[in-house]
Amino acid sequence: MALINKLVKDSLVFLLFFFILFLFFFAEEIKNLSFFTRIPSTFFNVNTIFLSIILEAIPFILLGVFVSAIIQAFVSEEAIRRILPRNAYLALIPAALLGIIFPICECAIIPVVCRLIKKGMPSHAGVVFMLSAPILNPVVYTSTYFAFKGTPYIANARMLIGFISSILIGFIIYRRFKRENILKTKQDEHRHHHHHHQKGNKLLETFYHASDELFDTGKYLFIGALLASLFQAFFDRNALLSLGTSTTLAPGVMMGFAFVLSVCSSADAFVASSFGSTFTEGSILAFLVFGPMIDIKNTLMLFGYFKKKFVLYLLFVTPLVVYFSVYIFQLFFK
Amino acid sequence: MKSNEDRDFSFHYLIRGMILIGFMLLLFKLLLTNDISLLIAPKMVRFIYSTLFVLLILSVLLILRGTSGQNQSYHCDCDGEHAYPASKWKSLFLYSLFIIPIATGFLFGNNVLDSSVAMNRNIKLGTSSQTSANITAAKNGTQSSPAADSSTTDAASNPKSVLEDQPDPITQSEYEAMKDQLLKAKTIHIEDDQYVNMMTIIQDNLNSMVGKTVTTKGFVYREKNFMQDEIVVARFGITCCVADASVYGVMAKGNVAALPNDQWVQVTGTIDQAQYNGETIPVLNITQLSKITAPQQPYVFDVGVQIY
Repeated sequence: MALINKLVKDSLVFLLFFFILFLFFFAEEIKNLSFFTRIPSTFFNVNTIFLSIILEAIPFILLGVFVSAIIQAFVSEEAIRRILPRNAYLALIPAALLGIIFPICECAIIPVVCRLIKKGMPSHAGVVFMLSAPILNPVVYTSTYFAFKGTPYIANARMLIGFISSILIGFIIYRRFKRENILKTKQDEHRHHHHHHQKGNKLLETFYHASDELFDTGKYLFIGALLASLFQAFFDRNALLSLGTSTTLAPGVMMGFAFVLSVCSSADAFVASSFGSTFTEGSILAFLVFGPMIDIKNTLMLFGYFKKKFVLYLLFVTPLVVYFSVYIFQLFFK
Repeated sequence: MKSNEDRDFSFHYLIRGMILIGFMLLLFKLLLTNDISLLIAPKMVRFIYSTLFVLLILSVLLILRGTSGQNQSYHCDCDGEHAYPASKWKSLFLYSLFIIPIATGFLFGNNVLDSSVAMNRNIKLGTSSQTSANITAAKNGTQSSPAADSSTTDAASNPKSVLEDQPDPITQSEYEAMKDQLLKAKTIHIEDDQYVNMMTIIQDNLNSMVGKTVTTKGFVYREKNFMQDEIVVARFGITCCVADASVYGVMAKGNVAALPNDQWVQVTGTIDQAQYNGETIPVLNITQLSKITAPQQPYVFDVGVQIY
């Protein structure tokens, strides 16, 4: 029985291998089959946008899982404890500014933060790092500055609001969760490792670890990218324009829009600038601050790494805080 | 009587190794055929090279791990977070999620966005965030594929163009120099590699641009409230990947009623300014128009300006 089982599995592996080789060499020929001309062109547009999101994200996901694996293998828990201030509230500020030194985008950050929290970084500081790093970093500043050349203070305001709202969210998270474990712990059954504590090769370990994590994260990325590309292809952005002039409604609308679009934070400024003057500056800022913090793609990844209760709480608190910060900003700077 | 601890993971290692090989070959093929530039901006391509290399290493390691016969896991205290799918159906779902995109990537990786996507986006006809003219896109339009015979263009013989399509971001002084040059010039040819910058300069300095002769190319695109003689000569501008594509373009007036949407054209005309939806935008009065085949690189890339 076990033998047959193994035979079936091995042949599946070989089948997959030949399938891939076949596609590699004969994709052009297959594509010319008449069957494919009947597929509507919107399918191709969805597919193109989906692939481009994946191709853009994969290098950074790999970076994220490798950084996470390296932290796992080489950074000690004491080191992390030593670096961060002991005071829980004081720790928020360096956590929010960490992105300036480690410009990690929203795809790569989740595995890294998760690992840091496991290694003893206080949860709320980790969350602040996770939310602020995709906004408060030099790459994003540059692209925002360029996209809004006519109104350069947008870039500064984005940094400021990103900083303030991530700290506020960290504060609220700390009040609510304190030192509670917010990370997902898999079923309590005994795990498959832990038995053979071979003092193995640390490098090999890092690679094994990274490949496991790549698939763990990858499945959320793929589902998220699929949803985002469907929205991209079918959602008519012009429907938003009529809502853009209201100072109370528009920031909310644009936050929802940022959520479904899931554009990388170094490029979203250009998308935002295409809305230009029809939308209030407050709503543009809401788009630019909320999008990197939470979108479809990383929401799914969050559910993969964090406890459901925590993710739902974060999904509830983040938009409120961003909306509130933007609202205050509008009051003072208008 | 296998307990969960002794489950055989070699099948998962092997399948995962194969999937990574599939991705590697997909990336390899996209790079070889240059179709990668239809998906992501050239500045991101260097990351694809390193990804290719990392995927190769990971897939080899996974296959070695799957064939070595030793199923005991490496030592790591990550507390069982690496879940392997527990049932056949879960495995099927998980791995299809990765395998199907590999297949569609091989088959349809060279598709080009068409005007049906442009219709769902905002188009920039005027510019700068203060004065940009955002106009409502139309719901009409055909859905032909503009890249049907892209291989016949002369650029097709130059497979190396992928990295040369997008020069490094220009410095502020280079941008100013380009601006001065455009302000002095009588005729302007809008180059693909500086498309977004040149369009920005023209739109920002519209008053001093009126009367100049401009040549540009792009696909035909119409807004809902356009007259018979009005089109937009449009391009998709890309920052990182196709997902963030915005529509750039200039309105052109002339005898264009017969042109279908998505037809690629080269247009020469004199710049005038016009009011559109309450904004002042540049308009080309067409003096010369020719149909062209879609360029090998239909997208333009936002090269950006360095601010430091």
